[in-house]
Amino acid sequence: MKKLLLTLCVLLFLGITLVNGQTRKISGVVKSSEDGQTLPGVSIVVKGTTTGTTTNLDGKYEISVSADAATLVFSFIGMKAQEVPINGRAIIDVALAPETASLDEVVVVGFGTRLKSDLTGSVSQVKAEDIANVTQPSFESAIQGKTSGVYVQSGTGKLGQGIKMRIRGSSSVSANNQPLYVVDNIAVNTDNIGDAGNEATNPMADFNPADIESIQVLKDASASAIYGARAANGVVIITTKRGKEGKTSFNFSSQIGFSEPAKKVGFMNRAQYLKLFEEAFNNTYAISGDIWGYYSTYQSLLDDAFPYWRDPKDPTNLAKGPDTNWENQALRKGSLRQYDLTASGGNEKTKFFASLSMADQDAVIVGNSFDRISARLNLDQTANKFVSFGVSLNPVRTRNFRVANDNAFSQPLQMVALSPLEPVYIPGTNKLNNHTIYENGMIPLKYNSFNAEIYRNIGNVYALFNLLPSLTFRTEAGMDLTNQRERGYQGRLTNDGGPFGNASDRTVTLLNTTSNSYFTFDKTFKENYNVNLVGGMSYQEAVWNTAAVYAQNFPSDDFKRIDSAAEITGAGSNGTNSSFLSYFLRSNLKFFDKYLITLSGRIDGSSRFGKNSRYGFFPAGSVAWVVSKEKFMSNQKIVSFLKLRTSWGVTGNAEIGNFSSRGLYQASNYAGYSGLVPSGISSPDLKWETTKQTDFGIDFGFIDNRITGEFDYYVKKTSDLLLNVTLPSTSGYTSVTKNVGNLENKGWEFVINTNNLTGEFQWNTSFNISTNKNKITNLGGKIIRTGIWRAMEGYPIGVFYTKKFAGVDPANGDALFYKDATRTTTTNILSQASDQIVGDPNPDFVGGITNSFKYKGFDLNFVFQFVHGNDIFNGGRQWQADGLSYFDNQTLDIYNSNRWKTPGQITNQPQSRFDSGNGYGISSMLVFDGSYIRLKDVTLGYTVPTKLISHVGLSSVRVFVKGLNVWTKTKYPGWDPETNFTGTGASAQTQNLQQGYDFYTSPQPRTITFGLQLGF
Amino acid sequence: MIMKRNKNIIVIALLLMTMLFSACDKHLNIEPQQSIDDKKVYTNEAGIVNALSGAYSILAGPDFFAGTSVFHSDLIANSNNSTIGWIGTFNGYKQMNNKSLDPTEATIATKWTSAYEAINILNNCLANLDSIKDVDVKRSVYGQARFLRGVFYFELVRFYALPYGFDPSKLGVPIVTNPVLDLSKITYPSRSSISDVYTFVLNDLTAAKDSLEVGGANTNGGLASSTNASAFLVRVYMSMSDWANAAIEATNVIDVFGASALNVTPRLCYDNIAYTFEDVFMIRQNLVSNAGNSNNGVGTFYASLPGFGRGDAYVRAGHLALYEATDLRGGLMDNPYAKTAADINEMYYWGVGTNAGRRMTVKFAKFDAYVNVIRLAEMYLSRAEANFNNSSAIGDTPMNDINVIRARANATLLVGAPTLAEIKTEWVKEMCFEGHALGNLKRWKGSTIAPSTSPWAGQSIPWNDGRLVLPIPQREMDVNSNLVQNDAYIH
Repeated sequence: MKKLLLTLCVLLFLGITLVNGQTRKISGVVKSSEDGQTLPGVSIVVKGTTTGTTTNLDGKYEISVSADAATLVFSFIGMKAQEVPINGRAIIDVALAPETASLDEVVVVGFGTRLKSDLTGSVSQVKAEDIANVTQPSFESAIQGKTSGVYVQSGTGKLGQGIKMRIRGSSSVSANNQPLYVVDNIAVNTDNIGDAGNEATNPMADFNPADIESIQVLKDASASAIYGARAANGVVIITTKRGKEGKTSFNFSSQIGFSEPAKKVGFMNRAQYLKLFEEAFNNTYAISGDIWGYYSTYQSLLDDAFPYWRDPKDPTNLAKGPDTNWENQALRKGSLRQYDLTASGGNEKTKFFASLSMADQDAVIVGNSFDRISARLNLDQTANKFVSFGVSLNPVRTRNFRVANDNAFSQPLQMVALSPLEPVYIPGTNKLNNHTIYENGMIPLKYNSFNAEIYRNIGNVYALFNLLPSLTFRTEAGMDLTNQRERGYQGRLTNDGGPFGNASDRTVTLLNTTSNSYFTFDKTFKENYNVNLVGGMSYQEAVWNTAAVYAQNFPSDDFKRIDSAAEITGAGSNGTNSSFLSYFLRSNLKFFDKYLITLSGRIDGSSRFGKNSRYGFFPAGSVAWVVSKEKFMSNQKIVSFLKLRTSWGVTGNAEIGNFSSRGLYQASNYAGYSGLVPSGISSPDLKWETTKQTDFGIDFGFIDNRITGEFDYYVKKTSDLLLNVTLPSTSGYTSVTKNVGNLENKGWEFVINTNNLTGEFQWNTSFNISTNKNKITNLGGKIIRTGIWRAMEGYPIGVFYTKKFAGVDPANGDALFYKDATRTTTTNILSQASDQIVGDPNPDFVGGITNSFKYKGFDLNFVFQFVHGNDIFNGGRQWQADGLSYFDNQTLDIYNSNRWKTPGQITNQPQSRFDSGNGYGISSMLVFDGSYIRLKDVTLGYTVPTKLISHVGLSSVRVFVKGLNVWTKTKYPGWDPETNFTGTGASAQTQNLQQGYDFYTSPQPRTITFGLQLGF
Repeated sequence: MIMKRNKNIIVIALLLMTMLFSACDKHLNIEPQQSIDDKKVYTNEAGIVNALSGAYSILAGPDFFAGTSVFHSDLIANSNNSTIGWIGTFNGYKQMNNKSLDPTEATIATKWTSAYEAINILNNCLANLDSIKDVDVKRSVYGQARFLRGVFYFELVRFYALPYGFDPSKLGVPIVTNPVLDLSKITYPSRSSISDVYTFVLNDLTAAKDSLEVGGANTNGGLASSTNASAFLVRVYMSMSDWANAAIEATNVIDVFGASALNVTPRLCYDNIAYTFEDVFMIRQNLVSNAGNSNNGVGTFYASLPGFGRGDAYVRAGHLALYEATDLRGGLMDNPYAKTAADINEMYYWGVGTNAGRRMTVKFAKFDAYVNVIRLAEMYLSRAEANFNNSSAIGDTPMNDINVIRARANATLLVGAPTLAEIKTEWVKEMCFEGHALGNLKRWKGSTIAPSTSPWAGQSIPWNDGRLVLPIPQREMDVNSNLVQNDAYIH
């Protein structure tokens, strides 16, 4: 289709007018080659003219063509366009094949497109159908397991929260490691702009996945260097759907789903708690003779700790009394509803795509829900031979009704810490129990709210000038305007909001504007020498403004707005800007369809860089050789396609903070006296991080491309790492951002796609696996730490560095820890054990396998996704599994464990001791293997035959049922191995280091969705 | 025609892009909106005065008198949970109660880093005094900067080094006096001896005393005065067992106030949002500027009220048994409907917030109240103890000084000279939970017992034991190889 349009444009431009001669009629029927159903609405055009028609409801057409017409072009959305020579026929029946992954696909690269077979770099792509019917708020998790070299981790079952995407590993220690996202040529904001008091949210949740036509992931330097200083983490290019010439088609899709936690951990019940408590109490009592000076029986301690633990009618019968399953209070059955309506179509001058979408979800964690309403209009207009232009508008409203961050007592899942002996309500009343050891999470659930409401519009306008047959000029301007409003209220009965209620109201406005202007020159000389040049400039500016007010003391919980508060406890407003100015040039050369060369260069300047290094240059080059087009390959049938390619290039990472290079003082407040304190020391040479990447790749196809695949090996070396270098704090400063250090990522990626069965019963398989080995090679001798996570020379980023558990002393049940890293001597005193490497959160390999089957109208799709070799630090088990060192309820695996009871017993579970912390604290006891394989997605659909529905005016009907996270296999004992608590207000460095952290983090949902899709 | 038009478009497009460049290049110069260039700060009076306020705001932060200066002291000295019952989950504080500290704990690192951040600001203020033209302002800034620097160094040396009374030649803390404003000025200092740090502190406080106006906390809007410097000198001399100088400086302070300046009841000393009669030096706080109310600030741990305090540190019954029945400092109130500090009119209350149902002190029951650093009562106690040890009666006799406090508390007055034990008990009754426990323990050469949760459960740990000294923060050890860790933390 695109080719056709291009041809049309060229012809129009050249001013060739086709002389109308005699006409004749051609008619026929168009069917789908897949199921033999007739296809209504297929566009038929005489090649090289504007003469055209469409098929009727029965798939029939009739067209008058001039005598010299040679070829008809049949095209239909979702089908491969077909050119059919007329050869004097009056009846031409055609069967259109569905569009499938093939080497002739058009791939969107920065500032242009290429045929997949002409690519010299490494690009992964995901098509609309691969992410159709996404039920998660943002599309990233839908590409999990489907793209090689891309590791996606959605860290929690809370909705709309930050998602970690790593393309070929982490290339930075202190700067952001998330890729650059570009939507229709406009870089969009993906940084969290939410309140620092809660976890990061994912701005891409504002984006309706159903609007996506394709996602391209630019992985190697050849592909990404056109984005220069911001491409070191890879680039995700999202192209939205646009209208195509033809009859207006409507599509409606509706989904209703139900979810439950993918797993519950399981905690002790009353009887189990009492049994373990007595054991733990007695063990401590036997050692120290008393507990806290005056408890000599465990029951007297429970009497003081839990006022309602006995049955009021039968207080001496310990079997009776409260038995609360707090995990069930925190986790629930969720649900989702999603409706999408799209219309697209157009004529040769005007084409449009319009969509309206509504999504609404309740998370599996109580108190959390999300909804989004989104509209889109993509309009393309060919004004005349010289100019075409277009506009895209995408207004969205997103609302996220959030719960507190994972590390807050008011976060619902922290309720698992409460004892089963504590009732939810005070017995005999309907008043929530406020005498629990930690806050009863049901109280904040009832009285607290934190709602983020986001209005966003990602839009752009462009104009395309056809200057010469081979030369176009495109200029475009786009904006990403976000207004995020967060209102919080904490009720008077809650710990956070007592005694008189607290409220917050915060607004962020973020305007990201981009303008691109570039020339594209494309010409083939002497048939065999194709030159494609792209050159131009780009300017981007981000303006951020925020204002917030905090207040307390409300007349009652009925009042929640700041106006009703008696005291303003805080108010503030601030703003910051950044800008980029860039020039780029790329040339693609293709000789004899088999020798490909790409060279590119970009100059980037940014306000973020120090005075002394404001502009950087980012070159890349690549070559490819299509071996299969050589003569010596023409005599065999096995290898249908073979391409060897290699690339080298330089990209940068400029996510370094807007003013990190400056020596600055900021305001401070001494209760009425304004003051100044340092906020950073000057680093005038500060610049982007530089990543040099080398890639070797092979693309292959066997047996008529029924087997296709790719293999890539890459080495990414990052230098001039932006490091928050620790300073001796005796200087008055704790750190400075400098370009120090190196790291590398090495890995290989392998993808194989097979058409196992073709014909009526179709079976396709796609498998991918990728490895990445991250190693920090130089940190200038420094160690960078966040909690137990470290960046250290010679090791991968984020290794766990803490005490190493050495087992249990068989003589007395003491937890033992290694005194030093040689692991020869042990101690039972945790603080005397030395810190050492006890885990690595980086996976050895990740991947997925997708199988899709089609038979008649049925389609079945399975996606397995796997992650292997990563460790998880389960911070919550410090209390959930400490053998009742305090009152926190324990996991069932601790209750059922073979914990130490008698001298001589060999076990790994220390003796339980109340209040004496036997093994309590942070050590490798909290580190677990996080490998897993998960049936991420299984979809069964049925498409009703067209003839059954065409008489009611429908062109397609499909019903489906879809399961998400249906099955997971893992040895991880926590809620979910796909976990990543990054903390609140976390810096990029913290997010980079603090990987694989589970801290009362919500599990992913297991969702069953029922859906209906109608086309008309 | 067509070709010509296209050529024009190309030319225009190229021109536009060039113009855009010159326009945009300027846009790469973006100034921050919430901060100023550090080079501008110390070039004028306003900047230096602001930086000085910045140093006060650090002193008011969670790492000093409104936070862990109180809390570290009380927890480390807490003997076998006899005064404070610790039930919190913060590992760093739990370790303090256990006398088993960890150099990587954040609470240990931030006191150190915050103190030196302030010291650097003060060094910059002192180095750029000539930018201040007004001589009165200049003298005031000079005095306040020396005062604050002396206070910060005293906080450092008393927490991170062994007691002066044990061996002043042992390692103190690094003394840094050169101002740092860019990377080239950064040094890697080693630790000076305890006695050198004390000498430095005495010099700073004495210089402050000599250059500032006399007066209590309310005379100078809460900013440092000569009297404040004298009061801190009392603390320094007391910890050096320099009894005569301590009694002289205490008298200097008391004479400014006069005996009648004590608040009418002990309860009136706490949870105020203004200065009271007897405040010598206070940390100002208000709703928007305070040490914290959820993770930081003393009240976070010492209070258990609706919406404020975790109730992590409660008061043991044995402590309340110290008070005679009439003593206003020992009253315990049971008001299950209490919402704020104003609802509690005794010095102790049964907690009604998080970890409810335990005895709590009322001294930090309002997160935005001013925080007592030095009250006049402390000066009386110090003078009584100093005169007792010095067998002197500088200012007044120990009996009279103790009776001033006892009279206000409605406790039975002494009829003869007090014993040292009686003076010590009076210290505890009057100043408990105000951060004196560790200093007292070390001055009185006592000992503390590790609780059952400690690796050294039941051990009596003497005053000069390294385990009662904070380790040098690991982050500092990692970055400065000239530093030597405290003995107790070298395994």
